[in-house]
Amino acid sequence: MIKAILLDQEARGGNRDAASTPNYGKLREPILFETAILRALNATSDGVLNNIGGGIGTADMGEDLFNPASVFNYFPPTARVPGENAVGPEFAIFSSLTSLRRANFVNQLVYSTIAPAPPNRPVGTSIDLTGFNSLAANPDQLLDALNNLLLHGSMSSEMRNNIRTAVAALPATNAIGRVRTAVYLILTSSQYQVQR
Amino acid sequence: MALSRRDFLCRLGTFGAATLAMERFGIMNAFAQATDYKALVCIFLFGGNDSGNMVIPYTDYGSYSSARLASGIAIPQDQLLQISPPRLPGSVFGLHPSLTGLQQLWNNKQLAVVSNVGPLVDETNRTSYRNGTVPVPANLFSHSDQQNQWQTSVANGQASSGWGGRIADRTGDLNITTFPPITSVTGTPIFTSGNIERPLAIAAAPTALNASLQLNGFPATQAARDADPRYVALQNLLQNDVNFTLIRGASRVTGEAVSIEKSLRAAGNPAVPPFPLATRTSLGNQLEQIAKLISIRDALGMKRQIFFASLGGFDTHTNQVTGGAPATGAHANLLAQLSGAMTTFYDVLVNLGVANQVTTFTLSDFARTFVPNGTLGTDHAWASHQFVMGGAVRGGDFYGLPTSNGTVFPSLAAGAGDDTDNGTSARGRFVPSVSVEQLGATLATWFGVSNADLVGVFPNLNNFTVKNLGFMA
Repeated sequence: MIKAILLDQEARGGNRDAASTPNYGKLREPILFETAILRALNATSDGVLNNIGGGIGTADMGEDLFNPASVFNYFPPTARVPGENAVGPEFAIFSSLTSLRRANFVNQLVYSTIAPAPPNRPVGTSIDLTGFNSLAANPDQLLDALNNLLLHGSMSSEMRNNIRTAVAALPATNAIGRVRTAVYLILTSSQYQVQR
Repeated sequence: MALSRRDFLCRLGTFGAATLAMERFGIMNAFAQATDYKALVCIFLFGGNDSGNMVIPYTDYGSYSSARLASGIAIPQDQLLQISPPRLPGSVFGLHPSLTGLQQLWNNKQLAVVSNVGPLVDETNRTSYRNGTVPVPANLFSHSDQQNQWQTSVANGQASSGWGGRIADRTGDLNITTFPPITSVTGTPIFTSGNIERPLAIAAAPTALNASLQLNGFPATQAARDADPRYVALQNLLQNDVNFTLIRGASRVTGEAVSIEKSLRAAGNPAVPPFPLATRTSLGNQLEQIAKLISIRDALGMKRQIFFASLGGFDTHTNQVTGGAPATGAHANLLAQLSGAMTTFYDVLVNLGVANQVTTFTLSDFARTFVPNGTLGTDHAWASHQFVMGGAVRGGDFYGLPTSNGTVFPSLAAGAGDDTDNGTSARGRFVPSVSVEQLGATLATWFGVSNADLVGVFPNLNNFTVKNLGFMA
């Protein structure tokens, strides 16, 4: 019975039903957004992600960790998806400002690092994309790998075409540039922000 | 105009894009005479401001001190900043001693007090409340519920939009621009969400206005950005997979952000003296950024704007005042910040020539128990007093509706008059004589919402006899 519960389609995101149900999924809240990126991309981190300056910490995204503004937590259960007749609590802290701050967090990690600042940030945070360099010469192989890793194979063909165009605009000799472009575009996309 | 352009377009909605574009042009001409500008600025005091220590009877000081002196939180009578509302002849009141700037605005008739206001479903008094003969707001005395009710104006049941947003739904189309009519410098609370309009959220000062929305990692000039395949792809991706509701919603927000970021980057960073404050404060920084946006209203094509700012920390259950020095402490500091930021903001508006066109008002979860607790603090109550500031405000007076004593200022007696409570443990949690909807409708009417549209903005307004409290000229 435990097996039946754990393996039920409803319990497992990314199943066929989810893909065909328009309202399925949830917006990743800031800390889950940031940690999911670190987990997927071979990160080194001291775990300090809340107040890291530059407007890219979770506190800047409306989620001041362990210190919500009220006892009712960071977002109300009744918040709606902007412009939609659907409930999406995490959207209460997803605004023009915090949306771009999420992109800026990705930009910082993909094109640079979050530098150490002892004593409170002894190591900083960085990701390691070098494992993808060998795929950069072939954008389709690169996108296949990133699609599986970051979007569990859910990337649509239109999305793939748009990213592929930007990747192929860089010369094949610029392997890290191609990898960074692909990773940046996936992580900043709504398709990644919304976990489906 | 009884029919807003938005309503008009909604009714034409099935005629297709070409028709819509044509109508947009036609209606724009119809509105071309509207060369005026008006803005509403909401300052939400999160946590429940103890307005019982903000506006205090001076002549009838005994009614105040009898409840508050023994517990050590009564502001001494000789420290009150005296004000004399003509509506209550012979009665002098006092503002909290932190509010020196606001007292000046009161004297100049640019500041009014709306007395004894709160969320209501219908006209309510102590008797009907205690007898249960009127529907009352859900979950009274609760932060999250009353914040929601103040912001949505809907005291019974869930609302999916706020009254600031719904005012913008009906007036935003006066703006000949795609710049959003509502801007928040402190998140996107439900007050700012309409059924159509969505708020723009930007960073407060000291972040420069042209960096208040910022997408990092791209070339400096827009021409170079537009030639960057990664920038192009970022925007193209926002058009993909929009058959999925949450992706569509997220892309809508990000798409607006990328577009407005472009406009703001080009806007520069205007100086708005006398901001910044000598000592920066949270609320001062927010109002400074709002003032900067107001200063470029013509360049943005704005005719109607709504802004949201906030100040937190008002949930003063303990140490609201300093023991032995009740005119100082946490609440005094918050009120000083409020007064300093509001008066500096008013000075900016005078400098910008729009003091008569911008109306600033406070909201808060609730007032606090008039009978304090035993820890130099106060607990959750209901009706509160709020400020309205602006050149178009009929300032220097109290506004409201009769309470149990016949005046707009409630009886302060616990367990009698206007109190919800009974008996010896009564706390002085007063029943509002004015609803949030009546306060909001007065502001909305000044802002240009037609009488016919008012009920769409304030769904329970018809439960109340008075639709306009008269504090706006």
